[in-house]
Amino acid sequence: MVISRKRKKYSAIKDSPADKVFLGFVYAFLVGALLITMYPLIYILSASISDPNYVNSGAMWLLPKGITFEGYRLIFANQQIWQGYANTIIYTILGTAINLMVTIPCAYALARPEFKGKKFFMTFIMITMFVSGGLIPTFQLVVRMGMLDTIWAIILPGATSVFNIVVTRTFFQSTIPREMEEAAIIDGCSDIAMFFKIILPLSLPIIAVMALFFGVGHWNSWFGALIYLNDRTMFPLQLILREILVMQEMASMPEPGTMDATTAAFMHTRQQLSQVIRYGVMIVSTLPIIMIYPFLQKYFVKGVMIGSLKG
Amino acid sequence: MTNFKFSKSYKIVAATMLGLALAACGGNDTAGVGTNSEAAAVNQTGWPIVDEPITLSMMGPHMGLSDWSDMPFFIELAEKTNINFDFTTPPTGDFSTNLNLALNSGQLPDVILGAGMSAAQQIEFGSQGMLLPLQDLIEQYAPNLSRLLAENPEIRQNITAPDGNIYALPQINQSAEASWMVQPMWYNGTWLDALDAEVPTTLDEFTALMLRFRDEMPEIIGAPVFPISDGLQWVHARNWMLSVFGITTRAHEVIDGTVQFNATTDNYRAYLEWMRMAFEEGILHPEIFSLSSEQNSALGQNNQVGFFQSWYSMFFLQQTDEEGLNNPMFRPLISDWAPTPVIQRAPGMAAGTFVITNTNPSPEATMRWVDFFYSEEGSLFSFFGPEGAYYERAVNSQGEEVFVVAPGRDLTDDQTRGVVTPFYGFPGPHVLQDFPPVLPDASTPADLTFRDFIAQETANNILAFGKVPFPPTMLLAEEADQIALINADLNMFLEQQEAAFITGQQPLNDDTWAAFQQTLENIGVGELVDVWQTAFDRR
Repeated sequence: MVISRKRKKYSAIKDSPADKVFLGFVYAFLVGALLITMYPLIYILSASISDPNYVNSGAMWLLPKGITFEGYRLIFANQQIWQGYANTIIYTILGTAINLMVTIPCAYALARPEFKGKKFFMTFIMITMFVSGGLIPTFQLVVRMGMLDTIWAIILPGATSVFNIVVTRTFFQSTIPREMEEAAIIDGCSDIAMFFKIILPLSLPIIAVMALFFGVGHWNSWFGALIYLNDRTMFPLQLILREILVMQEMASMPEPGTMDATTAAFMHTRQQLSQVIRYGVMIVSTLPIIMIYPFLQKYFVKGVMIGSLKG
Repeated sequence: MTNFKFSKSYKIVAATMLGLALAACGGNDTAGVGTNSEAAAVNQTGWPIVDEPITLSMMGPHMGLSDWSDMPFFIELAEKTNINFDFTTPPTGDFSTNLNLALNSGQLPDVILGAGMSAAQQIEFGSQGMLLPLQDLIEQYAPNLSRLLAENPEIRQNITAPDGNIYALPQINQSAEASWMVQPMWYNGTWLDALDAEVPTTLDEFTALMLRFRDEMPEIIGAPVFPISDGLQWVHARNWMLSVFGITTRAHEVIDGTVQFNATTDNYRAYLEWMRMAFEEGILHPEIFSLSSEQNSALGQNNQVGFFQSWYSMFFLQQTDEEGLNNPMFRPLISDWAPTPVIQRAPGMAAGTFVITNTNPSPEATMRWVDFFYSEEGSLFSFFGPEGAYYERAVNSQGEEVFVVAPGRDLTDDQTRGVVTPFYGFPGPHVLQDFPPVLPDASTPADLTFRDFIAQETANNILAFGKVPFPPTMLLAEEADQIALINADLNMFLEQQEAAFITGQQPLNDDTWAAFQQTLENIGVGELVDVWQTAFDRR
């Protein structure tokens, strides 16, 4: 599309037949990519309102069959899911805020050439990216710091992502011109004012990117909650959903010779339940993220130097 | 001092020192989970178990129904025994992760209920001293359990580790389904009625019936038909078919004190040949080795399967209990290879259900607490919770005592029992029996038809011919490692090879059979048999 628009604007030359064929291929490829990407989304959407029997037998492949809203009704009636939703939103917002507060200043400081000890800190941080204590030492660390079964166990251990710090630092180094900083320093700008008044407004793209990375990471996380949290009212959404869906697999593989009749019936009920709500659950848990993304997209597309150094 | 300006380096050094200082003065050293109290004096009999209330920490799987601290079971038991608990209950689906973490990081609770600990875990952590040996405690403080172990010496053998200690308590299963090794197989009753056919008793009759299913049912049903289908890739159903050929499992089995690996026997070859024939004839679902359980459930719901595996037949076919009475259980078949039918049966117990750790200040009190569940009254208590929570006693019109549902509890909701007691959804340390049914009210007669049906079918089909393939045996660490190493390759190879033989990818003749045996030898089947034999002889 860009190609033809340019042509129309700047040139009155008609497309040669070869160009037309090429354009045709490009469009065909794009349409194919669109279909391949759209199909799973449509499938999940349809499956969430279809009778699970049709979904399992494969009779439903694109459009919903045997339309039933039972799955959604069960999901909305489940108190635990709503509590999980509230918890996840809190963890995501708080966690992302802390992540950004840690990452951006650190990356900026490491990007300034006159920062003494830059090399030392960089090496110090990089080592932690390659070497980690592992699950059990980390668990013991969290316990000894008294964070077990609190919100901080979810947010603090993962507050620093070295990879993201490096990415942000590269952004500062490559897209914010040194001349601008020098001009500000000549005019008597202090470091703090420079950071807040000049650098931050210009780094909206990287803040948006990092917010998205961290936000999605927090939204999807469940393992930290699994091992650190005991209070069920603090469970995030993903953990609740995982509980519901894992029951489905457990029901298929019963323990030999140990189950009583009521447990077998319980497993069976759970299996039926999870089949009905499984696709609805997928929609409910990813919808907010999908809705937020378009608002951040302009920062990726528009380009970085919005309203800064001209000429 | 006013002119002293901190140079940049000083600022950085100062900031770093501050950061390190903050990191060094970390949080307080929180002790392990749960409070510690001195060992209180334990009463040898009767309640309360201890005169002064004590609090222990307990870990167990959460089934997603109710918090353990809210359960009437624990509330009433705490009042009676004077033992309170602080609970750590990770979700049951990921319980093993949390259990491993607790064991490896030293954050041990005092008691683990429903631990589901494997023999290897028991030996590993028991030998490190983290799990207390229980055999002396059982003798002194657990009269009910001691009695049961004396009545069933195999159970004591099954739960004793090679070093002579008992590290975990078993669930003793005496219910009708106790003998089920895996879910049984069922015939579709409506199909049998449609064809006016009898339940087969010999292999030839079975084959003929399956062929009739294949030929005559599509018209009657009006849809494609799969006489035999399975949603678990045939892994659990295999042993039922193997029993037709005289062996109860594809792996190691002990026959008259000698261990053999059944995949090396001619019985197994006969099984493969029959399955090959069944596959070619269209008796087996063409994708039986890769079908998912959801796809299989869909077939069952649409009544497209004639012979299938399920806990109760009506689960698979989506029928009511009454309709389920019409589906007969698989009866072990007589064949040239099995003149008397033989079938696998479960050992009637589950191991690793309850452990006491070395952080527990009162192991004696704990043992008395858990021993209650091995008594008649305690077993009922563990299953239904305290009287008044889920059920109440009432007298019916004939003057007999029956159980009726307590007010506020929903009898139609299978999950309600899990709100009242933790013994729900996993094997716990108690005796599991066929408990009396809980009725909606005293005047409704108990409908035991389905329960009697199951008991009858089990007695006729499984108990009559049942044999435990290999009793649960605890292995030494080196033995367990060796077996795990060999099994990793062996199982993969056997799965692939069986599928290849049955689907026809590889022809089954003397040459390929010899090659198959040779590969098994190379992988180490001989060693495997020796290790199991040593372990068995040690019992």
